[in-house]
Amino acid sequence: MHRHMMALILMVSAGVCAAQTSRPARRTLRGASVACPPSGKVTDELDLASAPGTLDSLILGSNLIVEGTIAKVLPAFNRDPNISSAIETDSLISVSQTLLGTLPGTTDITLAQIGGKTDACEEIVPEDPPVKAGEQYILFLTKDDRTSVPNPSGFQRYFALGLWNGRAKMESGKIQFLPAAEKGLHKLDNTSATDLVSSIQQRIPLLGLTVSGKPKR
Amino acid sequence: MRFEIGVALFVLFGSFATAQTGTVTLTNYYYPWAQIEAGDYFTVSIVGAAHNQTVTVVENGGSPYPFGTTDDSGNWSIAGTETSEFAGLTYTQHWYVGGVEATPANLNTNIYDWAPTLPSFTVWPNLTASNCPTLIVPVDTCTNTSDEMYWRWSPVSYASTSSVHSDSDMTVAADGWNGVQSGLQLEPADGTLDIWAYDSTSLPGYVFGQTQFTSQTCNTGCFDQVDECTGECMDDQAVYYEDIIINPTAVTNYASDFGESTEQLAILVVTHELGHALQLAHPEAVQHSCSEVQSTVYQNPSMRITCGVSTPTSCDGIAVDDVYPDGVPYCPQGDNYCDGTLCD
Repeated sequence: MHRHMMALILMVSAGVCAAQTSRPARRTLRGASVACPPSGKVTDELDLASAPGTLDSLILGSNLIVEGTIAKVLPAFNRDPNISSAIETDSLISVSQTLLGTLPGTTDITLAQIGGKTDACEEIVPEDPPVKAGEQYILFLTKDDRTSVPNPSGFQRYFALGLWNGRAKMESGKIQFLPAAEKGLHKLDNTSATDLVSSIQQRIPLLGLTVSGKPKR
Repeated sequence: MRFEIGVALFVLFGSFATAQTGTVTLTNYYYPWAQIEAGDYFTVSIVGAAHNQTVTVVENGGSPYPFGTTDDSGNWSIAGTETSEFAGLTYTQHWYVGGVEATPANLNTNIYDWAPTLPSFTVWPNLTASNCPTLIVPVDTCTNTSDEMYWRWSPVSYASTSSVHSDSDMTVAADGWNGVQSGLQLEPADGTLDIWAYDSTSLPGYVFGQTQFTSQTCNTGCFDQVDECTGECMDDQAVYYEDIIINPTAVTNYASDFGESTEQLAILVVTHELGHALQLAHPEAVQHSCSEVQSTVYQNPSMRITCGVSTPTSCDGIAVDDVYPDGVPYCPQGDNYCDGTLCD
């Protein structure tokens, strides 16, 4: 009887203890790898080292400026094996016109975007919504210099300069920068795509550049 | 032979003419990476132009105005203090030496976003109003909805496994925040981990870092229950944990451009991200002059550095105290459990 009571007390104590420790309000210290949250998604607040706020800054900071169409959105993939929520989505761009810089031998290039959805997790960057096939853009691009991230497309990969700042969408012939873009860039909203192309072409020599992107001699 | 002499002369005169063009630079002397505002000391410097020639400026398409003469080395400069009389206006200035326009030599605006440039620049009025951060409305990693979020216990614990700053650097950043506000305290993690800073090299080269927000909605064993330690409700506005992700590549590469050591720049970045983790949003950035930079949560890092705002300010403290006017209830690490009691 006594032994039975002891066992019951121990079971109740263990139950209380389990109930308490199984429901902590706070995260506890854990290993080096970062798992996807139980919801299966994360949302980012990204902080840029610098953000282009004018057309001149966009031109000066770009390795390549093109007018093009999103030809295909490739499957998202994990860009950091230690962080399951670190996801990237690359898209193929069919370039119709090069305004600055030189295409790397093909008319297709790859645009990288932080975020996307894999089987394991989803990463959302509210300021930089994913592109969709068929959309047309004037893209201000910087060459992707990361060495740790695989490039499944095989084409030269670029990021939009300042992520959500370097992507001017063409809709019905008019330009629209993303809502999160710097205020100065929104002054260009609703100008015709043709006018923006002309402005870029006029500014390039005035900024000491040639269309190949190299400084004027 | 005559042709060769002609080519040689052409090359000689061509390179001579190019060398004589010179460069002109507008500098905000004490805050070189910020836009010029009333009270700022500025310089205009011409270097490498024709020797002993008249310097003229054409402002906003007006008549040429003679300003002086280059010296024996082809250099010239002028300095002054902007007055409020000229504030609020944008100027276009083309500078000439002996009738030849000098080429603007501007700082790289892809590093120093808002350094003054020629030919166009703006002189801003001093911002007299406060420009403190406001409450961030983050997107919850669990619900994917935007809503206000609050810490429901204090101290909030932190730890870092980042390679670009040490534990003591993180403590410097946290202590900066502890010193300017009384809403809640940050302390090194010991058993619980509310804020975790770690690295990822998979971010683009110009992204310094990011903060991820996770509410108690993710904490399925505790959601919508009362925290027995504080009596607070662990609802969808209660923070569960937050992650600060640092890009060591960007911090390392930009450090020399910003005149900082990698460690100093990492502290600057993690201090900024801690501001987000305390639920502060970027303040307004309109004129990008120093009177506007009152907070370490201000968006542009080059502006924070040039304006000397690298640690939390009284403005930051006011912002946190506004988010937590009654202070956050005390609960030591390891003592927070939900006892199954549902919130009212």
